[in-house]
Amino acid sequence: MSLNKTKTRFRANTLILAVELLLPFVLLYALRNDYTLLGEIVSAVLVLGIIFLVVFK
Amino acid sequence: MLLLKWGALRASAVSWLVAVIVSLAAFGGSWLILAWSQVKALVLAANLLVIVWGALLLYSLASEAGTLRAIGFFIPRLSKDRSIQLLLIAWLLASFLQGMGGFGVAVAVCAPILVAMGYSPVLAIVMTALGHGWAVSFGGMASAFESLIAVTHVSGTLIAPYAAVLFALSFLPTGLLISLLGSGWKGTRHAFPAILAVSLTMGGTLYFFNTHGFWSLSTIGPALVGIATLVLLTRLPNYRGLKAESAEDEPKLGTRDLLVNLTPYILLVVIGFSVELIQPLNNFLNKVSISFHYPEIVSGLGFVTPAESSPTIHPFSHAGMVLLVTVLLSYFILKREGMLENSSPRRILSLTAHNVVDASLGMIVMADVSAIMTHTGMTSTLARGIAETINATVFPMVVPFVGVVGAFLTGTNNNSNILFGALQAEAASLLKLNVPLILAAQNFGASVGSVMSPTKLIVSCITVGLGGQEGKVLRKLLGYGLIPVTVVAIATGIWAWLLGSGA
Repeated sequence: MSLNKTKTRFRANTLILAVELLLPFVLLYALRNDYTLLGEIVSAVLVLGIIFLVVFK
Repeated sequence: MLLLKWGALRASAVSWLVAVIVSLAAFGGSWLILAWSQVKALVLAANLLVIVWGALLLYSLASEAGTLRAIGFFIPRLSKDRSIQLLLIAWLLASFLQGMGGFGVAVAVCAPILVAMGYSPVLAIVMTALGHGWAVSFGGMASAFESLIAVTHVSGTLIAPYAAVLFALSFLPTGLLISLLGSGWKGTRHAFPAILAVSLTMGGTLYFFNTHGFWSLSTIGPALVGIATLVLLTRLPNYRGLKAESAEDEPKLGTRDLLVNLTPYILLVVIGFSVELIQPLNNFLNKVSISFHYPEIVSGLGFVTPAESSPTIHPFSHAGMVLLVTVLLSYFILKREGMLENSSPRRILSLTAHNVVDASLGMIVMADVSAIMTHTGMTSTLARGIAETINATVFPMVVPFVGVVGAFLTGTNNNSNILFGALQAEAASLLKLNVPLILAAQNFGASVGSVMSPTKLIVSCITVGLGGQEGKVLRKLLGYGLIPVTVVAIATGIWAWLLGSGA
């Protein structure tokens, strides 16, 4: 694997890690305040992050 | 994962998608259940990740300062007896290094030393992996053990004594196997009293630490006591060995050098004990606490997860904080000793980041899978299925092997505990077995299974130039590695039967 590809994957994984770490707290906020739409959007982003891992990892 | 040659992370992500689809299709799942389970999983994972990150940071610092290399150089010189040297390196040094954080460093440091001593690379990896299999669970500030406590909600003080006994039972077979592989029958007969003495002192120390709540140091402590025991035994005429000729160009390592190289580990032990033992300090640090409250969750099929609070987190006495303070103090001391350069922090952080990302993602996704399964009743259904098909006599003997499979597939002790911990606890409860004993057995299996996992073996093989020959190592390691697991499985079966019959 070329160095650039390794770097890109590392950056992509770091971004997903940040998303997976931070978004559940936004989700917690949405759930506590019954912001259904925000909760659904955040859940969808989390699912997309996982799908990225399945496809590109 | 094995058939499709997927990495652990991709396999975890696929498991997550499957769990979501199955929960929505057959277990009355909804986006709300999914959302709450993800929040709970993240809180659980974050609590553990702080420890993993701290341990990785400490490892990166030690690696940059060269302290691991220095200790690897010093330990074999403690004895001139070859069978004792073998035990010191493959068993005790490997365990000690695993206690400091793991992440493959035990094999990376010890296997090349064994190769330099004349052992074949395959044997070097097998012996080192066998030697530190027990050390994974309580290594790295016991993050794997903490994950078991977190997913099962069973108190660590209940599981720890059982874990101490089961882990201690594996010491003698482990020491004997390493000796047999490296020194043959004759060498094993010669080393047997030493192996027995080390097993007893390490087992006693492990039991003391676990029963007094110091399980975060239950790898480092017993490993250090084991090294001290073996060094004391080298004073006996039988273990003095032949006087080795030291090469003139061989670097010398004095007592002060050794102490400086041991700084991060000494500080970790001192700070770890101080936080727990000095009561006024402990009370002061525990003043700040974080806890989340979760509401009752009911699935479409009526499966109820009662309202609950997350385990209370004390950020200032947390194992992650102990590691962070250790890293900062060690950095200043090692820098003053000239072992670190101005550019070192950048390299330390870069090495940590590269190791952290994939490991953290794997843990989060695995915690997500476990939470979805628990909140939609999948874990409960599986546990009922196990309870109906396996009887209470056989189940305790199967438990450690389930732990092995979990760690083998997911690559870590942590993930195996997160994935199977709740399932094992629920099945044990339905079978009216002692739940802490069953969890201790799961933890042992997962600990040993993690050193056999293909993901770790790939890294191990690279360190001794065996890249691409993982299959050869795996076959040998599986054959020998399952012996201590079998011993513990039988012990768990007998113990569960004795507890069940009221003995």
